[in-house]
Amino acid sequence: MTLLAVDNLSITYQTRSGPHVAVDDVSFDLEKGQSLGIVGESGCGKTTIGMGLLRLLPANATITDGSIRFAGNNLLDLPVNAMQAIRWKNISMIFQAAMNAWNPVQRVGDQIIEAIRTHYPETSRAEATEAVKRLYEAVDIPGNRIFNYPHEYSGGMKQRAIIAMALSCQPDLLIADEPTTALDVIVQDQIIEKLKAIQTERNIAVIFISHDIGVVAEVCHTIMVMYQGKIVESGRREEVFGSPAHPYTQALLSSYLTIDGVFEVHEDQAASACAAPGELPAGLCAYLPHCRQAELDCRRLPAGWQEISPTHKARCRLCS
Amino acid sequence: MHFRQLILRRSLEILVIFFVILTGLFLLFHLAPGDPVSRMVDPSMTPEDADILISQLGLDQPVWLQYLYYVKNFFSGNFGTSFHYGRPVVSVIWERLPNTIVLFTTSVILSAMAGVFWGKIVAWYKGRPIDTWVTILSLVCHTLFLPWIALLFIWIFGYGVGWFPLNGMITPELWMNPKTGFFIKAVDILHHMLLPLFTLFIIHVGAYLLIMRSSMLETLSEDYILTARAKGLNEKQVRNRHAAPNAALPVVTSVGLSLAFSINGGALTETVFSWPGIGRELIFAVSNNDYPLALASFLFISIVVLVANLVVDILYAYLDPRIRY
Amino acid sequence: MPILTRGSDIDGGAMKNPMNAAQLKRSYNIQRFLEGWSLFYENLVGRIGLILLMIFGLMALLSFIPPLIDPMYHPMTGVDPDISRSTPPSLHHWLGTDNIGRDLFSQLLTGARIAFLVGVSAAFMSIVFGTLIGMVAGYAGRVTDSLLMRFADIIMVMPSLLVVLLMASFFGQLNIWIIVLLIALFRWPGVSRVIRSQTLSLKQRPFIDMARVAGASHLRILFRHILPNVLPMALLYMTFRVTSAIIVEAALAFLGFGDPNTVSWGMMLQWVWKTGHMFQAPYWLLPPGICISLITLSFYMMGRAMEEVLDPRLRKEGQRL
Repeated sequence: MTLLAVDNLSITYQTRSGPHVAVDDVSFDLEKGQSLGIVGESGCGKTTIGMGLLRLLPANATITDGSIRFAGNNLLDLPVNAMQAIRWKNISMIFQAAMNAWNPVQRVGDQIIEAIRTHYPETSRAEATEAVKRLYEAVDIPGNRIFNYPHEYSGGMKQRAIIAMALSCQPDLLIADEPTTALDVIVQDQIIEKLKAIQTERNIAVIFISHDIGVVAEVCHTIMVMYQGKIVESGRREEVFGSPAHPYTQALLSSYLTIDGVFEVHEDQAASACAAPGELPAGLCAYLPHCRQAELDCRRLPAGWQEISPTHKARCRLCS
Repeated sequence: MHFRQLILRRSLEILVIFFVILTGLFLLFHLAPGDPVSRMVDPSMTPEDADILISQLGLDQPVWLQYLYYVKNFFSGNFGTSFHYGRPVVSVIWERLPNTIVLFTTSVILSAMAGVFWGKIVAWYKGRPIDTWVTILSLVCHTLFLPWIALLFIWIFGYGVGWFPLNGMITPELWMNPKTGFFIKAVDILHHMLLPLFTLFIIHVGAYLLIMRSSMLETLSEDYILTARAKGLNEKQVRNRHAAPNAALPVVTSVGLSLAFSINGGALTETVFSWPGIGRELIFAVSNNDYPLALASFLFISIVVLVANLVVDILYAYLDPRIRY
Repeated sequence: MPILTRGSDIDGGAMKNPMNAAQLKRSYNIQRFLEGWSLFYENLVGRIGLILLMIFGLMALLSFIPPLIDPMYHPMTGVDPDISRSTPPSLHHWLGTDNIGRDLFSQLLTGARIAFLVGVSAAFMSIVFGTLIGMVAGYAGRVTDSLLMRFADIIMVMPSLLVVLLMASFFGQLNIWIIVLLIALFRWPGVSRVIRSQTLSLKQRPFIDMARVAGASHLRILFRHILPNVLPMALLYMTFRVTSAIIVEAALAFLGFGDPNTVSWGMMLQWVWKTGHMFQAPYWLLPPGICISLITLSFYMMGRAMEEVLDPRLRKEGQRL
């Protein structure tokens, strides 16, 4: 059975300069044990999707359309306390910047125990501590550090502890939002390896959100590329990474640190700030202003889905 | 453990500060216009007694030797004799100091706790009418003039409805009666204490509430609050277990910073309510030109403020682990 | 789509009306000031504070008038020959009289004058001290910094009111200016900390290094480069200092240690209390207390509104920048 089915999800923020559509008609499915990577630049809406799945959006954001079916139930219809029960137990999250994800005045172990005992209230403190010890073993943190305070942990350790906490209630789905962005490259590597191992061992579905397509390609079975709130390409890892169809994906892949250290960036792509809403007529391809391969027709006709293979599709008129 | 180190270091700092104050007062004594001797010796004393006192206090010695005498006298509890009361200053201080400590400590603790508690709740209702009203009320309370509000309270609650006594700490008749038990005496003190306590409370709670409120609002935008919600905790748990303990820290700091201001208020309150504390004693001593008593009262008030500062620092270190490790 | 202008239009326009650097800077400063003003004015709290202060200012100015109308209205010495005890408000005496027949309303007006006088001068002085010490501490660093900040700590620990009282006992009767100076001497530590941290961060900026390379002396750097940048903060804190100065003066007067030749609100409260009229004469007891509290409130409100203007982080969502 499909674990997660998102259909036509749209989320809008109310900002100082008017409403901003952060997520525009996004749909995707995720099977149990599979991993999906959502790639895109800052502001393209990928984090918003992650937050939306857990219904943790800030006060000025509204889900204007769509449904999120998790194990058959539409999460958007659930009352708050039912959602609270699902949070962490069925769907958990690894946040960006684990530095600040920990309450500075509470011991790390206590915070993880709190997560466990919220969802399994009959667990005793001793049992919970045992569970934390085992989790720490899984993420390579020494057991004697359990009851330290967050500021006593290094950055990498904090991130690994976050992963431990995210796994503490044995969720079915793990959302990892830029889990390695704030870390140095070596630690990044360790974390990614750890995540891959965890994913296969425990058969957890993972949604990996990142701006770094290389990292995503390592971990995920499927990749979804987002641009300004819309999915522009999605497919299996080999397809998207190996033969990118959409011009934006191609630009992303080419703006890489290559082996001889040259950082290639396409000039148009570097401009990257999201176009102000309302500047483009609705329906036209959002990548139009930056696209090097745009044709005359792209300015007149809406961009629809083009199927390249049964598993690979892109929203671009040029793909066949 | 770092905690102990912290306390030690802070205590040392406090001691140094105290010595600076002690020395400063000594200098003041000698640099002010007039004859220093007449300030320590009651003019109405007989010449023989005066001579004894002068040699005891070392007032006939060169200045630097006087300073040593001064310090030694302080630590041996000899502050001279009060002009006004005609008995050793230290005995007067001994009587008055506990009264001040009781009133001061209770008012600070109560207003800080209430400020934290209500500030936490009000921040949750930010933007709604109750938030606006409480904020305005706190602002008004914070800017009320203490002696005036004290007089007002006495007028309304003491004179007007007669619920509270107009002044003092005890009802003399009750205490002079040998049959009144301890409990009744305690209740009597409490009864007298309520109005001055209430006055101090009103003046201070507003400030703490406002600080707690803005601190909560800042804390609520922190990432760990998001984590707490994501873990499935309900709003009340998030607010009480994660937001409030962090938001309370600036309030503790602010209590520490405003201790000197609070003791000003304490002295004023004692004077208006005739609460026999050391603040009131200082003010009386100054009006009566009772220099030995004034000096000693001031020194002891400084000690109270410094010790209170130390307590607040220790409390902060206890609440915020980042300080102690 | 932006309408493309022809190149020459742009250039031609610039050539016709060249603004030199100084003019540009001035107009920029004026623009910033106007923006700040509009933000301040939008803020309800600031508006109310400003209006209240203007009312008090008016009172202070009007205080010179009553004695000119009739000598019996003089706040200190004017005595209504027909009245020898405290009377409630009447046609001749809008707020009534005190127990020796002096008009309470003119006393209230004079109190406003004294409050502004004491408040502003004491605040100004403490800001001058605090800014100087803060700048020097931040700029000089190391030993000077620690010493000065320790000094500030010690002053902060002392209860200002009581210290001034003690001084009063040693130096005899105080006049209003000594009181102002003493208040200023005990209120500068708060400002100096803030100015110091600002100076510390300014010290890192490149333009300071440039000035030093150009050969500017330390004094010049301090006054020409650092001072203008810390001034807004200093002014902001001055607003809060005014409130505490007024309260300390009022408390001193209330306790009987004020300048006996001035009529301040605190003095009025002292008289009503010491003559035992506090229960019988609400018209005497209430106005001065209300005035002290309100003027404190209004300065505080102004200060808060100014804070929002000066510190962008505090601005509410939805306000234009």
